[in-house]
Amino acid sequence: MIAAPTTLDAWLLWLVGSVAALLALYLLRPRRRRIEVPFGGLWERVLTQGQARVRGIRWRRWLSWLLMVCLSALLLAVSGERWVLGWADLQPDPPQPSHTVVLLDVSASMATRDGEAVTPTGGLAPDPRRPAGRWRRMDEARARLRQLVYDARRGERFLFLAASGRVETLTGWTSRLETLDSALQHLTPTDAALDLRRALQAARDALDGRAEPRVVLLTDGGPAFDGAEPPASALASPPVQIVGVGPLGRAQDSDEGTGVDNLAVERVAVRPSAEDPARGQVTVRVRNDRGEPARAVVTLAGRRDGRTPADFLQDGAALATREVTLPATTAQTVAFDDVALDAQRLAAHVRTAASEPWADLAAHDDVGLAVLASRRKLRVLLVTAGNLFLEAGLLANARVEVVRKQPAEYQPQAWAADVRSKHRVDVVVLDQVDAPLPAGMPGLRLDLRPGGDGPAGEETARFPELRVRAANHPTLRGVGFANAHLDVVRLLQPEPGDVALVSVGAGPVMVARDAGVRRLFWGIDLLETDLGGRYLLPVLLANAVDWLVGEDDPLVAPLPLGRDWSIEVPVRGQRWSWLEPAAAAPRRARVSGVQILGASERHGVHVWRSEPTGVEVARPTVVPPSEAPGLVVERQIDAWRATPTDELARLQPAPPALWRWALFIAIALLVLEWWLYMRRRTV
Amino acid sequence: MTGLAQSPDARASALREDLFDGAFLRRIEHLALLARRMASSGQRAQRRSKKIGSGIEFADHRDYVPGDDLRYIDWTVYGRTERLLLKQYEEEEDLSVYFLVDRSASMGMAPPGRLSLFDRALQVTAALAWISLSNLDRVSVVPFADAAAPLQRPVRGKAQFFRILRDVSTWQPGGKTAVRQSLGEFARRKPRRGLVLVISDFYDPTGLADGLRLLAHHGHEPLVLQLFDGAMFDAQWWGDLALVDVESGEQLDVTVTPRLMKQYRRAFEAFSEEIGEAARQAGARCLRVDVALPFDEVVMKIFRLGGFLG
Repeated sequence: MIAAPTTLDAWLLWLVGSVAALLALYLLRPRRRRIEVPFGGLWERVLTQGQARVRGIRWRRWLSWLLMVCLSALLLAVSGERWVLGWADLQPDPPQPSHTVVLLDVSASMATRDGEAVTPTGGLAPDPRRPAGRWRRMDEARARLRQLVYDARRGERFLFLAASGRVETLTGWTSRLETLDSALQHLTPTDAALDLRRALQAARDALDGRAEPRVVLLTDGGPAFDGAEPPASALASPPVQIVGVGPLGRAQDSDEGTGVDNLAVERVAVRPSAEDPARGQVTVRVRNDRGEPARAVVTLAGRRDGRTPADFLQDGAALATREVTLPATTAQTVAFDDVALDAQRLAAHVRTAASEPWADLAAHDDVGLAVLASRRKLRVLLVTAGNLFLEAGLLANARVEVVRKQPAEYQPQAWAADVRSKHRVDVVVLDQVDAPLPAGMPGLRLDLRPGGDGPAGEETARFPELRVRAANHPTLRGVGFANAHLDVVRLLQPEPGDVALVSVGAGPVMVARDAGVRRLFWGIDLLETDLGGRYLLPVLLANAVDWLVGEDDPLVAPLPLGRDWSIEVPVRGQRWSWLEPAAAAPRRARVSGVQILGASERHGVHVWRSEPTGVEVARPTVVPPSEAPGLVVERQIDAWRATPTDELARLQPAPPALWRWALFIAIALLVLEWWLYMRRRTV
Repeated sequence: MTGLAQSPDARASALREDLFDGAFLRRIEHLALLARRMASSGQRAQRRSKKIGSGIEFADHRDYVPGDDLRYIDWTVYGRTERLLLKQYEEEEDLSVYFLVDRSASMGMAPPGRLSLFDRALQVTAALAWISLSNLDRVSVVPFADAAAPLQRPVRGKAQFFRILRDVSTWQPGGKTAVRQSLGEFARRKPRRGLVLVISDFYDPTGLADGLRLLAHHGHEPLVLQLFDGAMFDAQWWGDLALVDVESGEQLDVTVTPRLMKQYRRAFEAFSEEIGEAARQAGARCLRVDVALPFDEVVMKIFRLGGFLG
């Protein structure tokens, strides 16, 4: 394999050419013609006598010699620069060593194979073991890294760090290309996202107290800073230079981006059926990054013990399959109805249809995971003088256990401290009670009377027609008020931040408040309506209780790959240990109070188990949006044109055009001087 | 007189034909006639040696010392002055003429198509040797460079002329010029006193004066003939040159300009003046000759300079 010419090769060519030109001119320079004379003493006598007259000639000779020396020095300086000066050790002092931390993004998207193969000029040729025509961004980053070291100035030292969600030190401080090669040999992208804040902090720690600190970040995506662009201050000290890899380095050069051949699962959502919570609708949001519509096969799989994406792709795990046509460069939701949810763990996989001639470039985002939340028993403290409809509606939910109290027994001030711990109450429901909800407790208040701590107003409305104002609110899921009959309702006066759920013409009658503690206010007396006899009421109450305890989403929250996360433990005082998946333990996992803290690097369902009770906590991971492959410019672009910043330009010692002109002028002057020497007959 | 021009080719078969051809021989015979005519017009044709001996012409008195021949006491003077004085007479003998010819490397230089100083020196030597032989003088031709060659037995009579020509035809120029050393060696070999004609370019850093003084000290009568080539002042080489001394090999980097050539000519004039001054100090006559002149004109100049013909 013939390696592409490097910048050093070009310099060497210039140097050799200049030396050859000097040598040729020296050889071509005419010698003094030898003339035999009978008596040299006579000429010496002449020269001695005429010494004063030839002084001008001597000066001209000296000037000519000085001109030759200057031109030669200029040639050497231009062509040799640090090579010549470095070899000759003409510099009085060794250069001050500079220190550069190179952060190599090894996040999931670095596994993407981009467009046509692009070989960075002066860098490595594509690895022959790779499939022809495609080059992974990781390979491009490797080549750029090697070029970075190759072009480094004398005395520059590097520390190479691999950064994704965590930061791994690849080498010590070094300037050796061989060290970098061995470190990069087995480096592969992770499943995680890049945590730039952590990476920069690690770089700052490494550069602390070192001379001329600098950070070079090789990344393919917008450098996420907790999902946002990094502030300028974060990139200022030490100076951070971003070297784009893949589309980041090229898309800015053209507006002719046509997308990348990639399909991805962005999100998996579950909506349990109101009638049968064991079944429900699963929606999968699938994104097509390609510039053209694509036929895709979306498979929904479920396994109770699924840990990794591969577990869900095994035979027997598939629940449903749909072939869809996805519009170009947009996302679309694919719905699977009436899916059995008893598997608890779901995975959605997208792949190109067999009829599609192209291949998906990025595999890390083809699988989306979901874990159904475990449903625990909820204790509801119902304070009412007597409302069988309300009690029956609550008890219709199998998860709910009702503790009934008379209004006279209700002591909110006394209960406020231990209503949760002592009585183990999750939700308080006040029906026509002239007392506030306990502080810090979520609760539902049904009240037609003004006053109290609710937003009840003075006005009422008779025989109103209810209108849903926030149909997407979790408390109204699967709920409709058509043909509902209410004799009288009380208009509520919501505070700023409250959400009006249902209203009549004159104002809201159902309000949701989420000010740290969730509250629901219904200006309704169930005894004055026919809701008690409708199926609507149990669903409405079940939604309300789920929302009030924060379990309105049937899925557990996913863990973003590469980012720090925290999980609230369901049982305190236990020793928690990580269980699955194998060989992909989260790093820095620890229990802090009621939280498990950590960061995950591998895509899958991560499981913790408590000792000695054996309670398990399972959380799926999700690929962050910042790891999307992004747009790719199809046309060939020199990769080294990416991010031509000042700092990067300093790393690349290619001579500017001015120096080349100076070299040309120097050679021309040298030839001119030689020609004049040839023409000189008299002095 | 032997018919020199009648059969020159047969006799000169071993000679350098470029120097001593038939025309040359006819011209030196003509020169000999001119020389005899000049002598008969009042000048002495033959030179006498100054040796005091048993001649018939009174030369001087000296005091008597015991052991002297009593026959030579001047009794007339004794009668008047009562001093014993011895009469001395000039011893009449043949004149010895020595030709010291410089054969150093500088004498061998010549522009293409022209005779070198050495060639012209040989021609002049041959012409003068013929005239000397015609006057019954003893002639000896000695080459020198860094040292004088061994002294050959002087020859006498015209019949020896071609022997001289054959001898000089074998000479090749080469070596450094060392006039003082060569003349000194010549003098130390104690040849008979006579006329010493030194023919050279005198390109010797050590100078000429000491050598001439040595000759005079040994009773010789030196005659200096400085040869030079006037064409060297018209050299067409200009610019940056490496001038190499043909004898020492030393190199001198010079940028030759017309102005420098004028200075060179002036330096040569000064050098020639030094040669002439050295000759005068040694009581010798000096003649500077441009080899561009025909050799017979050179010979006539020597005649006019005087000394050679008496």
